[in-house]
Amino acid sequence: MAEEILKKIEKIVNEVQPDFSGDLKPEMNLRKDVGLDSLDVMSFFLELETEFKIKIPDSDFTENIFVVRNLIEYVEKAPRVS
Amino acid sequence: MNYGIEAIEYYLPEGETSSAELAHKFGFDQSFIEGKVGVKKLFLAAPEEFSSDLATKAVEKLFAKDPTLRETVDAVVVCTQTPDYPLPHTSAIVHQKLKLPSRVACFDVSLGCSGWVYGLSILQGFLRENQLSRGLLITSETYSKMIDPRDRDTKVLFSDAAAVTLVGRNGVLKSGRFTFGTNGNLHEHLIYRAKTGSASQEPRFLEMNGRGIFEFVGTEIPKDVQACLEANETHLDAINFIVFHQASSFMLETVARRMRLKADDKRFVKVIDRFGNTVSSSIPIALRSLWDTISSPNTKILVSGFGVGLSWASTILESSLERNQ
Repeated sequence: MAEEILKKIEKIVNEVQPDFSGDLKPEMNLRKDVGLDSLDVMSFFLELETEFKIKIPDSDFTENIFVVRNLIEYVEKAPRVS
Repeated sequence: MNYGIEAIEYYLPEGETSSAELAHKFGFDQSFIEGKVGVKKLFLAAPEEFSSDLATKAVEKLFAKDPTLRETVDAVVVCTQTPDYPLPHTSAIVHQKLKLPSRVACFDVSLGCSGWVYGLSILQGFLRENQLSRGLLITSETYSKMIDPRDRDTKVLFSDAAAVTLVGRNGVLKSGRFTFGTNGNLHEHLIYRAKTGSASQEPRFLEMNGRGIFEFVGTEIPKDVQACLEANETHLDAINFIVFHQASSFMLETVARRMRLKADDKRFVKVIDRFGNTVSSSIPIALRSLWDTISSPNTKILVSGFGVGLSWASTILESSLERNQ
């Protein structure tokens, strides 16, 4: 499950940040290691919400969620919305 | 009678600021402002220059090309959310400044970035219902006066401007069916209020929830575009130009991507680099900038405005054989 989510996150990363090359690793930080700027972040999370049918409230946007491992865990636990 | 757009003019105030100045002042990389926001320069109204002044100057450009308009126009609609005063309506002030006849109907419409599309439908309906000949749809905003000077997110985005769209029976561009929408639950995403959230306290500033607006545009606008295409019994492949509200380069690219358009699709019109986000004037300014091309016969243009409210509106414009400009 986590591996499948990682692959989907990696696909979204490649869509919104074409300059990123290489494999996405669980320990990576989306801003520091992947290079998402403030606008890329909005785009990334919009695609993520669409892909996984989840809704991430503003209150959950802590530094924690930008670490891929934590994000995978968040996606696994998040309730699906229609 | 099938009314349509006969001509468009716009006015940009003389005050300007460049992406280099904005980058230096607010601590951005210039490449971020030009590349992501998409802005190379913004236009700023002078302290004593208000929406009616910008509007009047835009209309005077139109009247200079056809002086008979001053005596023949039947209606003036001003779309603005930065009126000179809470009352009277800005269109009455414009009426005075333009020395228009007393028989001219004047009223304002309070909408933001969707305002031009709404306004076009409103004015065409008003003219048709009352069997009038011609009207002016004016969009005019001075957002720079509402922005907190320290707010880097909005300071690098919005530009002051006015545009006038002449609507009449000899339209070069005729609209098809319109689609409209509102999500009032999101009205706080773009709001002018005191920092405390009170509607009555001063000072007030423009507040923008960038992520909230981005999500709204990214999810709602591709759906509305599809609905508009279906309402007009056409499809995206038949559209020659796509003119969206010029929110930001990043926003436009996101909508394009979510519409499955290729990044280099030449039909997707982007002029934000030259004008900034001019709110309700961004669509008419983009249309005017491309006038010679888009007014060629049988050209279909999809237009969509979205923003404050949050609200949206789309239609398809189709050029006819006549050329007025």
